[in-house]
Amino acid sequence: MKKIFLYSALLAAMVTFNGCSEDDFDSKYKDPSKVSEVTLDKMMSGCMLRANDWACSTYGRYFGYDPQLMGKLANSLGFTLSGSVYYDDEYEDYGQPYNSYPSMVTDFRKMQEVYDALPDEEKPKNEGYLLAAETHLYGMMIFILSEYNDIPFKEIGLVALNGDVSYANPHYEDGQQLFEMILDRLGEIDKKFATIEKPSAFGGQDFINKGDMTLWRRYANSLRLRAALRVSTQGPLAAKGQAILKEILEGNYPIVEDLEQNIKIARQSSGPLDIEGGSGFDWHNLQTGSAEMINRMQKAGDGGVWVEGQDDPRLPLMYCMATANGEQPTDIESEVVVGDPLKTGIALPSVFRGASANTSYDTFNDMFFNRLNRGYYSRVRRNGFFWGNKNWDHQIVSSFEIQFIKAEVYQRGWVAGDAKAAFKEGIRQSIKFLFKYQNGRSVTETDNGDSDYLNGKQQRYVINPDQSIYDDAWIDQFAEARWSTHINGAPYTDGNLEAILEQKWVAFGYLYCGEQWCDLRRTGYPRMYYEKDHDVTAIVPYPCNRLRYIANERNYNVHFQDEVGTYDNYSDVLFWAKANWHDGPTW
Amino acid sequence: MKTYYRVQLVLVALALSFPGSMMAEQTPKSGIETVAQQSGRITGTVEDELGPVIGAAVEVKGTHNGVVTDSDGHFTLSGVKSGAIIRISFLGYVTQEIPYKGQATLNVTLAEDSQALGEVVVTALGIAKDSKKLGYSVTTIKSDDLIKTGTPNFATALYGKASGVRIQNTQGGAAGGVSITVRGLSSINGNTQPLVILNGVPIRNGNSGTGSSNSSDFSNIGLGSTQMGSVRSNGLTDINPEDIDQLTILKGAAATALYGSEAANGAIVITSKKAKGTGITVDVNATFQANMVAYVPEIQTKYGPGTGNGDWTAEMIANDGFRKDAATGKLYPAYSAYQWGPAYDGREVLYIDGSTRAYSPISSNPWKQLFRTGTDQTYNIAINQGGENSSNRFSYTTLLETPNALTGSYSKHNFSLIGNLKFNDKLSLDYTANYITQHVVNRSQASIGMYGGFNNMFGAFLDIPLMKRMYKTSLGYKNNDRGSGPTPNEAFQYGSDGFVHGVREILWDTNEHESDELEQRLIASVAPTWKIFPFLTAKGRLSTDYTFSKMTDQSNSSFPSAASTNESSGSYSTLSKYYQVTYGDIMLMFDKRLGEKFNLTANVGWQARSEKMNSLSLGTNGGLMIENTFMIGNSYKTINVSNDNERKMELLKTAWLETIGLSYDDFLFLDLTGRQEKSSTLPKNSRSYFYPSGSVSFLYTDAFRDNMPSWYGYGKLRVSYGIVGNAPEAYAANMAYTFGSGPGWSYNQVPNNLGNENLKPEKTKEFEIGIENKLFNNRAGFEVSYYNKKITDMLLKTALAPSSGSETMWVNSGVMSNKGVEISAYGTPIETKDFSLELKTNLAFNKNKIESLVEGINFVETGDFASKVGKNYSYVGRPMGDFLAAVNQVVEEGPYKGRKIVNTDGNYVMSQDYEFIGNAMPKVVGGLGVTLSYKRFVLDVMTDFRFGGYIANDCYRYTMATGVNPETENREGEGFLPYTYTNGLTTQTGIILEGVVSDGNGGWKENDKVIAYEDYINSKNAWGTSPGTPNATYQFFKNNWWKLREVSLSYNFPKDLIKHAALKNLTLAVFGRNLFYFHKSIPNFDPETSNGTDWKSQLSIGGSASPTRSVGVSLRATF
Repeated sequence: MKKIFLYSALLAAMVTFNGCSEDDFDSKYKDPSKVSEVTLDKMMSGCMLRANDWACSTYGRYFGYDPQLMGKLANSLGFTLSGSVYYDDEYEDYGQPYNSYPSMVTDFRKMQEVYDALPDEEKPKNEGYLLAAETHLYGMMIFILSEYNDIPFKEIGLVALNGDVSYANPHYEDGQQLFEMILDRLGEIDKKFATIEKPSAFGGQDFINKGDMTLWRRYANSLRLRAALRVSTQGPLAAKGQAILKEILEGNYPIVEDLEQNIKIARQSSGPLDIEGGSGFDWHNLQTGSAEMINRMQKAGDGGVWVEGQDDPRLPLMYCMATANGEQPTDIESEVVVGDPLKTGIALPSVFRGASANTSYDTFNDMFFNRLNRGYYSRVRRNGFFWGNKNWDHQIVSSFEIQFIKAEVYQRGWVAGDAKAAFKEGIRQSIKFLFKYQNGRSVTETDNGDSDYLNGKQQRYVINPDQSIYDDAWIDQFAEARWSTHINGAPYTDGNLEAILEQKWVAFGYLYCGEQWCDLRRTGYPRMYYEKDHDVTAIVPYPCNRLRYIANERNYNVHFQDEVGTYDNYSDVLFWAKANWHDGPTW
Repeated sequence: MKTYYRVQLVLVALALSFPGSMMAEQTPKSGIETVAQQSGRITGTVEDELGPVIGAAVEVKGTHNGVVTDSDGHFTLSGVKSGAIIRISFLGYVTQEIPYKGQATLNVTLAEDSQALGEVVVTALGIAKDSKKLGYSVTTIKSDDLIKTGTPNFATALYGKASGVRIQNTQGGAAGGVSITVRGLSSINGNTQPLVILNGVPIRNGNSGTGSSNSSDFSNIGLGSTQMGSVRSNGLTDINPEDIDQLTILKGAAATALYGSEAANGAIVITSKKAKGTGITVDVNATFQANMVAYVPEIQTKYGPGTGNGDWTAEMIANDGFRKDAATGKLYPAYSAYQWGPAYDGREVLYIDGSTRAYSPISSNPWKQLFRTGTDQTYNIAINQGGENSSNRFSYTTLLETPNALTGSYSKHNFSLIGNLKFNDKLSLDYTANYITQHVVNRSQASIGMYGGFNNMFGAFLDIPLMKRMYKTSLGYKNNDRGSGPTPNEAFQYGSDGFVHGVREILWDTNEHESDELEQRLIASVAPTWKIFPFLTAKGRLSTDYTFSKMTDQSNSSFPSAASTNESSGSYSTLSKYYQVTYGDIMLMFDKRLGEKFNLTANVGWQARSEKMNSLSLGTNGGLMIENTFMIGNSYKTINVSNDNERKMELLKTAWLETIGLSYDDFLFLDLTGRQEKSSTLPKNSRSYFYPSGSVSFLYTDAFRDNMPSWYGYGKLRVSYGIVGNAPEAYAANMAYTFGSGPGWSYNQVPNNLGNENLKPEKTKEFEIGIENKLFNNRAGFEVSYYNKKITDMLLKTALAPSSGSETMWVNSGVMSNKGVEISAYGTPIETKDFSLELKTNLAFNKNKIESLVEGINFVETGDFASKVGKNYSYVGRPMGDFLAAVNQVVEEGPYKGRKIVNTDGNYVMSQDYEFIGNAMPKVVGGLGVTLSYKRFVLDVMTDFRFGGYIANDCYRYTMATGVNPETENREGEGFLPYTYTNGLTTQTGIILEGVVSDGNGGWKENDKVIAYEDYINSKNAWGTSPGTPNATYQFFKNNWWKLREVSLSYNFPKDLIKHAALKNLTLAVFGRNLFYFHKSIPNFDPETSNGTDWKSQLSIGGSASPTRSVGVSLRATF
């Protein structure tokens, strides 16, 4: 009897032990540091953050994607012709816009799913979240399309939404059709923004336009202008592009016309928008001023010396100075030492000098070790200006771009308007833009880590122009002169159209290298010298017409080979672009 | 009254073990009391050839009347009836049966049992089994083999000792992690570490240095960049080798099937030492060892600092490659991390401190100044108390380490109590408690930080003692360039980049940065046993493994915060983490003879395991407000908090298990197991899964005894098949959204790394067949096993096409196989009275193959080197771990077909695609040991080896590129051609590479273009982002080595000599570890300096702390 009792007790113990219920398993299945339900407002911010590698000067863009790839293609950052210079198979590492584009679409798809599940009466109050995310998505997508042409879109994100790996291979879609879709959708979005109710949490969650619905209209319309211009110059969508340009410019649509209307992302002091990027000695060669650009901002024959009140005031705002005669200072440890007044025997640098693409390979070592590091070339002026400036805003659409778009459209006669006035306004907006951040800058960090804690020595080798000189009258006079002749006095080969595109290229500086490359492929302007790669086996002897899909796309998307594999090369000319755009005469 | 107390104790213990309520009946009186009749009484001694045998069982056969011998081998047995048989038994000895005829004394000498070497091994779930019954391969390592050379953790004592078991230590002294790989790798993404079972309970162990957010280990405790380069530890290194009695490695699926998913990579079953015999004995031992940094790279002493002749300016050309100081007019070398400057010629030059020095090598061995001789002191005292009804062993071990790094310390205290209470002949209780507390100050830094980089190379012209004074200013700040900082007069005269700054950074980090880790761990268990019937036993077990760790990390202010309005320096961060494993099981065990020849055992049980982790970290942002004041509130900027600051993890696994064992006539054994497991890491519909195993052991020598020669003592054939399921790591399957915030707003995103709600467990199926033989009275023996292991439904974190919108997704896809042969053999060719020679060896051949991956996917990337210059891919149809890099482009057709193409710059043109270089997997690993005994001296030598496979060597690449490696010493003069650099300088440094160049007409001609040697070497070492640019092939090396792992010489003092000191045993030993390589294929570096314990981090060397060579002495005494 006692034994039976004991057995029962033992069994009872086992049953108790087995008291781990399904609920225990369920509760431990879910990750406590993640959320399982999402809302549109927070998803909108998450979705918009995905575009940062395109919209912001992130580390990847500032130190990788632009200087190592786009800046070379657009000739807007200085580089040397080492072997395989135009070939960079691994550019996905530099900022990864292609990687973040599908993630952004995925978040957008999730937003659509959440939106569709809302009760009908809730939808109008929430549509703004969706439209804002969609607008920003198209901003990035226009650029991605301009890099690759055919890209997946509709099937992106299905793997995450369905949780099934069989959805992991989206089909590629025709780039031209996607361009058309964006052009149409942006038009619809503008109308919607004009009428819909502002969602309740929109102001707080919208880190781009802070809930300003008019700014969202300006953003959508300006993007539409950018996209329409891209397809308008040649190719099957030229007529459609020109019609849209006409529709917007004649239709009194709100666009970004003034500096205060710029579409931008303000830097925040913490969180994901505390985008500071990095710094480091090793990156000198990636921040070299372009000779093509510096030469276009100063008079030939004055040896790079900038004259206040006479030369382009943007030059000292954009670049640091270099040593006067190329002499090499005796103390060479790092570029910041060059001209340091605390050091004896070192002359202050006094000229602006860029590196040019025809710097031959033989002098590469010489240039890399001796010149860049010793201040022979001007370096871009980043410290505490575009970089390390806590008041810096990451620019998405700037007013000068829209002014130059207008100037080009008027000049080409697609829309009636004063091309020269828009051209002058573009230059004025560009100069004002630089002065705005020069005046408002608040240096957060010095350049070379704590060894240079004496407040960024590099700033000693820059000139801060006397802003009072450059009033509207001065700018008008300066722009008037640029309308027909280059700063060195030579007339433009192709007249005012080249002047417009050259000034647009200068205004874009080294912050919009990707847009510059698009304009170059579209128009061939400004004409510049591109040295053929010296490497006998170079796959890309001249700047490419498009980018190849990134390696992981080639490796993992099973539709790649069939759908885009055959045309995935560097030479294919996109439907809106010119062939041989870089074959212009030596400037 | 006494009995009543015991009942209470039983109740408490049972209540602990069985959460369910349970009533115990009054326990019967103890067996000894029941048979205590005052009839015959006999006393005696049991001895073997060495002396008294402690703990031998002396019993009256067929009764419960029995005792064990005391520490002198004595016993007294009462109540023996005339005609009774007295049975004397002890493990490993032939049992003797002597009839009692009224004799008063009985002295017995036991003989070692070489015939029936039925060793008892502890198998899954702590079930002790006679090894002859096992149908699968196990390796058992005894205490003596683990502590012979005073290794600070048990795993490093396993090198070469178990076939099919590969050990890889991350170095870093006693606080470093150890990786154990059993029978090849069984996962691409997941954990490959075996399950560690301590006294029947699974304990925390994971990979070190992998940084997985939910890591079961404390490896990812790092607090940002300051900790990135340090070498971390993992859980198994906490187990004190002094407390281990035996260690069994269960390799195949059949052996580990009962442990379930956690043991998919094998299991290491550790049994702690228990008190033996009766009375009290005390063991004391002390070990001291010195650890010397070894296998560090040599540096060249012919050429001084500088980036190369091509970089000489006009001024330098005029001054033989030196610069001229404008202020003093003195010459000085062009300081940089590179050593491509002018040859040392003894001329007077300006030094970094402003003094004048001869331009000659200052030190050919900078490591001497950068490391010290480390020491480990281990002291252990163990008190054993054995009695009729209880036994206890308490042990305390302390380990004090001075690391090889110039700063830091490590100490560990280990308290262990293990015991058994026998309440009566039916109820008993086993209990263990291990409390471990350790304190690590400044974990060792990875060696790649010391000699693998372009900024901190140690050339011969560096005065390190001077740097040790100069790295810091008199105000306590980091020293600076000439003319700058608050103390400009103390600053470096030159050398502000690379060379001097890099070394300054290392010294600053070593001395002005401190990480402090305090870890406390408690592993405790209670396990009651109830013998319900002679054939039925119930066993329960409840345990916890609880770790709490607290870490702080502080860096001194390197510049005055007042000097800048915008930034500050210094940092402080803190992290707390706890991890708890709670485990319980209950088993009903049936064991009965059925008739003459059959025996049936059957077990049924249930077990549960839960794990919980929580960590919280915080750190200052942007420096410290008040210099060198280490508080979170002293942050210069607002502290950034994200959901990375807090991590949580919980998991639960339960299982039902059954086993059936049937034996026939003690020569044929069949074992079947089944396990139904349930895991919270899997989605509901696939949460519960079953897997079986079966094994047969056939002792053909016993079956055909009459037909076997007498020297053939033991022969066994075993066959087994098992399936083990493996659940994914916590939250891998769960689909959820990430969360984050900025100032005043927050966001959600779809994660880039997707879970999968359709995930199911992966399955490892393993077939194994083997033979075991013991010959010539066990003077020789060998064992051969073949296994074929197949992992199906592989849990794979597969990479997705970027256009899918996600980066990875967990899937069940793919098949991987490991096939292999394990051989071990031993023999004693010479055995005389005073002298014996024993040899033992083992070899393991494993062939890994990925049979398939996700449909349409041909490979997964498993590593990259020098930022993509080299890659590691794992391809379908190949073993894991193929190294790839750009290779020379060659002419494809025509008369020059196959010749290397040289570019216009005189350098080779490299392929634009990655080409195969070699695979990382070894072909064979193993060990070879020799033991020589002469009288009381024992010399033990253990070597181990690895052959086959490649490894990446970043350190080699860096030392070559910087011109520090002695291989670059021959760089000019005879044998070189004149070469004119672009700066106009002509030197005798040119070479013409073998190959062809374009003839300008689409054809090829012999290469005649001269290139500077330094440019050629530099191009081979460039840090690149694509395969095409540099030649990376030469950083991959064949990785073969054979190492003298351990040598020990011990002397066992004669009993007569020591008995006056009340000593029962005294042994003195001197030993050495990691003494040297007989052979290694990597020049100038140690092939065993991989970082981390996961296989991917073992693809390259340089990640671990600098390796060491140890010598020491130990003294063991028993009172």
